[in-house]
Amino acid sequence: MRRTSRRKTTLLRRSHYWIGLGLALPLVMLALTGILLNHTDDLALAQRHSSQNWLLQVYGVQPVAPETGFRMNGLWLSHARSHLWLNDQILGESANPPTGVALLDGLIVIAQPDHLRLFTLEGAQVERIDLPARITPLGSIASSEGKLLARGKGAMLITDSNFLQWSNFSGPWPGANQPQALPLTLQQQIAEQLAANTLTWEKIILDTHSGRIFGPWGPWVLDFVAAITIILAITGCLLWLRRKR
Amino acid sequence: MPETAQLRLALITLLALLTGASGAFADEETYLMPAAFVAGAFAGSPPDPQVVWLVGDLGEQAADILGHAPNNLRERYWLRNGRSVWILEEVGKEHPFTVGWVIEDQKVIDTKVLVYRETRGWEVRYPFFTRQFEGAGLTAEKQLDSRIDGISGATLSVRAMRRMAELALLLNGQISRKHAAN
Repeated sequence: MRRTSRRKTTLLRRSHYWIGLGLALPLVMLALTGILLNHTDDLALAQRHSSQNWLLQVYGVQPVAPETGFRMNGLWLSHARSHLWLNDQILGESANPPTGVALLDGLIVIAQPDHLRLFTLEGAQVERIDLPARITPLGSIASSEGKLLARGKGAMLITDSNFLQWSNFSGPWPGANQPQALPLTLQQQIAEQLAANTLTWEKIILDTHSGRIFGPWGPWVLDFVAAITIILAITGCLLWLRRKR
Repeated sequence: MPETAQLRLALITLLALLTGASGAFADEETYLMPAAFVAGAFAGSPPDPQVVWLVGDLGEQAADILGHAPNNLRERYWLRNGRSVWILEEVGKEHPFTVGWVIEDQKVIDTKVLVYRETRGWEVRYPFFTRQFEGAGLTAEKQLDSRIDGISGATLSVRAMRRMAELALLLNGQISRKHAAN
């Protein structure tokens, strides 16, 4: 009887040791990623990007670049991955591509369906201006004698030099800046920048913690690790109780 | 279909639904159009907008408050009878959210989250939180003179709200002096 019990204890102990050894690596990984996730804000992990090629391949990040853009005095404005680009630099976030662009008194005016955004030629945002409801969704914009014209919903409006007041415009439409094919070198530069700014460390660490980074079976494997950890805790308690006896 | 396959399918569906739901939260949510907020602050007939440039000394003071260069080089405001309205944007964690501020006698008298674009921290839109700003002014050190209690899980949005309140009060002080001098 005592011999059977001792054999059971030995089996339990061995199982506990070997399972514990097998789980050491995933548990350390979970603990480390857990600590990092607790401090994502302090470490600004959502703002830090990884440009490691192998990680981009793991996530299947393909080089994407805009094919067209608006040309203004040698500058190119384009839209890719929810961002506006001035040449190869990010100008700002924008869910929608611009519907028109105009250069006015040293300012770049970018039209969106329901608002305008003004930028300096150096890329600093001057203002975001909500448009009057009677021309939204905005069709296009153009400049005429230093003033901005906006057309949408069959109406044409003209604004003052400070973009504060809008009034009806009945003159001829001067023609808007149309999108053109973006130079290939610029497309390539934007694609490289995009790849380098796609993956945040917060996402990588979160996906490592949940197992998603290892593919579709990753979360199931980590679920298994979690279940075995519970068993390990139980076998550990049993061994402790048996030793006490 | 075997039972295990059914279970797996159910779990995958649940996961997909949850993922879709979290994606939906990441979308922009408009609670009140900025124009409606401005109109509401002036009983339906707002004055013409004006602008203040955040350059020079004012730009530096704004940068001190925000902890970064101002998002816009100029801000638009509406002013009548000592009451000013500001529509400001600030990033909480990743995306800017839009908040309207009404200021009178150098104190915040009303605030509302108008558009929220972050995935977390949207609790700052609720009146139990925004009410704390009512009556808040600015100290000589350009900080709020009222205590604003945080919200667990919305720390960054709460901080962004504080920064916006301080900026709105700073700008209001600037334009009040300018208009008094005229």
